[in-house]
Amino acid sequence: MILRSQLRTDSDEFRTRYAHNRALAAELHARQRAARHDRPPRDLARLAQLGKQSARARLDKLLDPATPFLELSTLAGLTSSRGESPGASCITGIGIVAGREVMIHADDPSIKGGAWYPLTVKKIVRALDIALDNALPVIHLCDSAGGFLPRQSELFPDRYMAGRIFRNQALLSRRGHHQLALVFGHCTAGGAYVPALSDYSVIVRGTGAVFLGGPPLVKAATGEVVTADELGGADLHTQISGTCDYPAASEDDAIAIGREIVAHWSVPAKQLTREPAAPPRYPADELYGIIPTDIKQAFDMREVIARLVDDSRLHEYQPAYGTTLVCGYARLWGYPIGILANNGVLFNDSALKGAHFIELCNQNATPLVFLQNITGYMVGKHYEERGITKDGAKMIMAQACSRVPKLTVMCHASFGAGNYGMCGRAYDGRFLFAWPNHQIGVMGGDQAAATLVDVKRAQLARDGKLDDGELARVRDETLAGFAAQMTAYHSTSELWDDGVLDPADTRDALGIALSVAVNAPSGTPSGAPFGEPGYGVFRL
Amino acid sequence: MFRRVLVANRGEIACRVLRTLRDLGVASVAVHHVTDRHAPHVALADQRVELRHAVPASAYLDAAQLLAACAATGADALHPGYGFLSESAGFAEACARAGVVFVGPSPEAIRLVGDKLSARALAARVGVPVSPAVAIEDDGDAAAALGFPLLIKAAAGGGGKGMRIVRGPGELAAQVALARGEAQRYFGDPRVYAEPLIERPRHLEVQVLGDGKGGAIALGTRDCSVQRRHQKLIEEAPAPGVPPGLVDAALAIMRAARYGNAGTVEFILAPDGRYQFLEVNARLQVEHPVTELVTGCDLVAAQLQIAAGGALPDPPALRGCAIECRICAEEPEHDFRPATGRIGLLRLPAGDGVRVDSGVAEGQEVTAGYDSLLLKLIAHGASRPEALHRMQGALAELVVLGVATNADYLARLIASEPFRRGKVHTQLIAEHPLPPPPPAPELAAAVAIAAALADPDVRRAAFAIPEPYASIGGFRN
Amino acid sequence: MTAVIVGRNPLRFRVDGRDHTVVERAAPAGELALEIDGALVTGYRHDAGDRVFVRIAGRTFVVPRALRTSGAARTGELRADMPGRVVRHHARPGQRVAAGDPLVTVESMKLQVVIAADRDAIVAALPVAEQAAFDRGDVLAQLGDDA
Repeated sequence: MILRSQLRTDSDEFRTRYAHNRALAAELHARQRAARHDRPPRDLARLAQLGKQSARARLDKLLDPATPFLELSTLAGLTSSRGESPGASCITGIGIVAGREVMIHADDPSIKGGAWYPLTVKKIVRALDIALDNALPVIHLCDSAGGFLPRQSELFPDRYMAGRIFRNQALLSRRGHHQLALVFGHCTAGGAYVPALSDYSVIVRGTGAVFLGGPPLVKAATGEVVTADELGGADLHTQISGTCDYPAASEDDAIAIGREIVAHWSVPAKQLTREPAAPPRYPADELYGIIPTDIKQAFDMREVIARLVDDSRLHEYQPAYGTTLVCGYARLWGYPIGILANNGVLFNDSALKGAHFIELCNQNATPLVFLQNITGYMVGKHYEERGITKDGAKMIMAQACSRVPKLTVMCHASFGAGNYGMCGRAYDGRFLFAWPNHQIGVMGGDQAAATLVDVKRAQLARDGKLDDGELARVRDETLAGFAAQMTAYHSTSELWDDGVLDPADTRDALGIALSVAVNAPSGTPSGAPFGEPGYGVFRL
Repeated sequence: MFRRVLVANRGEIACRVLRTLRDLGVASVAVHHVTDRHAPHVALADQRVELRHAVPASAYLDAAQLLAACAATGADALHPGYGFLSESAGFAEACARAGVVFVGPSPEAIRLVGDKLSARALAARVGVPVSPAVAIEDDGDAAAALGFPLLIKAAAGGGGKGMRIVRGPGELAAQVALARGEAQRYFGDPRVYAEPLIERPRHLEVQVLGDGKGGAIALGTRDCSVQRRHQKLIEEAPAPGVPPGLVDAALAIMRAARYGNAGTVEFILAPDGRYQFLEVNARLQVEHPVTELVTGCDLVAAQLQIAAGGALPDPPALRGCAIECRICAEEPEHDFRPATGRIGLLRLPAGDGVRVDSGVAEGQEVTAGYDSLLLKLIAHGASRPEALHRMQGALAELVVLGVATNADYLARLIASEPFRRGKVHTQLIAEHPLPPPPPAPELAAAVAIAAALADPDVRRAAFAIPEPYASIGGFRN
Repeated sequence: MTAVIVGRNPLRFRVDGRDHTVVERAAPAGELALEIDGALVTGYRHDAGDRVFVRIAGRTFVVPRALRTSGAARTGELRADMPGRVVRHHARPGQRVAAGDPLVTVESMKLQVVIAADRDAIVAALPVAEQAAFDRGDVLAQLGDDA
């Protein structure tokens, strides 16, 4: 059915919202621009002096002309490390090289010589996780001084830290997903394993170098004095050690060789067939006029769906039941999807409807798209009596054990257990994106402040020291802390998502995400390996 | 007629001779260096013999191997084409000793007319105007007496090689030295002579068939004035505005030389209408097809008949006008320097009044080891404008890609005002550079797009980008 | 002047700041049929590797193409793949050689191999004398600047 928009584009409300969200998008683009390009002139001059190009320039030459690049977590590190690691000192994203979908990881040599910060490691690990989940080949554009030593304890020892990068590389190779390393600069210490664990590697003569210990470390350890080129340059590694495969005369030459290598890679078949795609019947920029200016205001998610899916067509499932969760089939850039979108608090019926629809999509091998605007499952005695918790558990069980690709967009609020049911970050969705207006927390800031003030009041009352000043302080501190931590920018800085999207870009971003998601076998409950149930135990 | 004829040449002229042999039903033998094993002339012959030499071009100059090939294949005659051994009296003698008929003039006639100084003496003896030339013994002081500008030529020369212009006494000694060096290198004979330089002359020539006993007929005239680096580029027959007596002068020389077989007498025509004898080319010439088209006479067949002892044909009547363009691997924009490459695409023109003498095929490597001539386009029409029109069409139709050629330049030259009006002379090309006009923006864009689409990487980017990426385009989030 | 793809469906190229819509029509080998901004352009094309020959509107254009290097070492050093003995030098230091010209014949493991120039260059040195032995990795010929 073609969705008919009820949106009044000539209303004051539309105008107000449009201006507000347009400004948020502009702020997003300004922050992205700064993270991508603003560097101290001294660092840029140093790069130029070495004859090196910026990571962005290398990327532009590597990608096929006029093809999309879905950049991931552009604003990682935004609110941490005193802002000294913009973009977490690296670029990751999905693009097209020689006609093949590839994951790209590019070190950014314009920030502290491309040294890896804690969030750099997290961002690279996430990119490689995406490659593993979505059967993507990876191209590494290497130019890194190694781990940022002052913070080594935050990037080296734990399970999801630096070692995970190489573990993921090994797993990618085992699964037959090609990896290519283009060594433009140094690959020092752990970074040396990036080319070493890649199936193919190209190294630029003169500037590229791969070694476990750089010249300063070698001098400190053994007293040996060698240049970087002697220690791990192109000729050493392509003629003597065999660590790298192809020497390149220049960065551009390395990119050309790399493109030629990729052109020889086989292209795996997609698990789903695509139909020709008709664009939505409503312009994407009207999304700005839909999203409320206040996190507490409700809006009809069908208006969003009408601006995301092909031809604005949604086959709505159970349109009259559990109406606070809109469920239905659609196509997005030609790929079939099942949508779950919040139109209010989740009640028992909406939770059951959601669990059922997720099962249908799994039986039907249809990828799931979650559009979150959720303040939680309904609370209260009446609902607990009716088993709201166990109904919510059913939805979480169905969603968590789901075997089809899952994509999530944080469209507005994401509070409480609704985040779980609607495939929050913890649920291994293939991708999770957020809009700039998005807020996230275990509950809303007001509720959290009220809850904490109640707890404090009870405590003070027990002690017989009721103090309004103290209660006000608790309220204000809680509100301020939540406000800072609930923003989309804090989320994305910490890599709780794969990036903040301009709402108008959502359709294209999801199209790319879907295209790579269907590289990997979806698996359906019926297709589960023998003896392995598709689901856990539903609490019925 | 002969039983079997060996063609001691390569390229377009070898193909040309082999075709006539096929027409006459005479068995043919081609010779080739190993690098020419796929060349068209090899495929055209009934038999082929490989000539071995470290330097490819030298293989075709190896008299011993050529005569051995005649013996091995039972060839009773040898056609030398032009260039290589075609004007070597010694080789003609060696053929005679080996019992092989050399299809060309006798060694004596070659010697007499081949040496420029003795040929000049012969012409003067029969009353044909010659330039007041001076043989240069030492540093050329005697030549200075002729006044300047001067032209220095090799006594044994031809084909424009070893010619030097001297504008004043200051350059004389140096130019003489250079000319001697070139003459020694090209012809193995350092003798040079000087004659007054005639500015903006025309180059006319008369095609003659002689019976070797003092009989000779003329097959009309040719104008070969359009030259670069003293080498002909465009020739036409008949030559317009031939001064009276010129054809008779040519016949007088050839009869006096008791010249046998096909030969050409060349003249210089000064702007004031006076002509003088230049030289005799004792062979079939590159530009012979224009004469064939206006006379209807197969000159190669005539050569073979004369060599086999046949009588001279009757002098033919002339019909219309014929133009020849030499398509060479060269870069007119860079002073006609020779170009090399592999012929990747070759499409030859056809149609009424259009003849193509080609010695190349697709896939053939064009090296600096041989002359840069690839093929000749010859157009025939009832009138000069009609012949030019057909040539224009043929040049447009011709496609030679993979090596730079002068074809587009020739099209501009044919269309140029001086050439259309027949205002030709030997310095025309030097004085009227015709650089290619810059292409219109649409054409430039089409060329850039077509070139880009030849690149596999660009083609992949253009046609092999999967959906939805192709439709999403240059999206950046 | 280069053409860069700026869009697809339909295919668009940018040349000299102007965009052109291009549809490639089927054409026999060597021929060209492009609809550029709706107008049919026919001609001929040959890819000669380092340059592309295009003949359109009765004119032939030679478009140079930047080629990536072979990926082989370009230090000018030609090294021995295995130990052996130099049989013969085919060039002298200072001599100009073309790509493919033989430089040194070597014998290793009862196998004679000709080491040829990998590009047009001037021979800088032939460090191992005739009849002398060499080890794997030794430099057999050093080429100088591109000729």
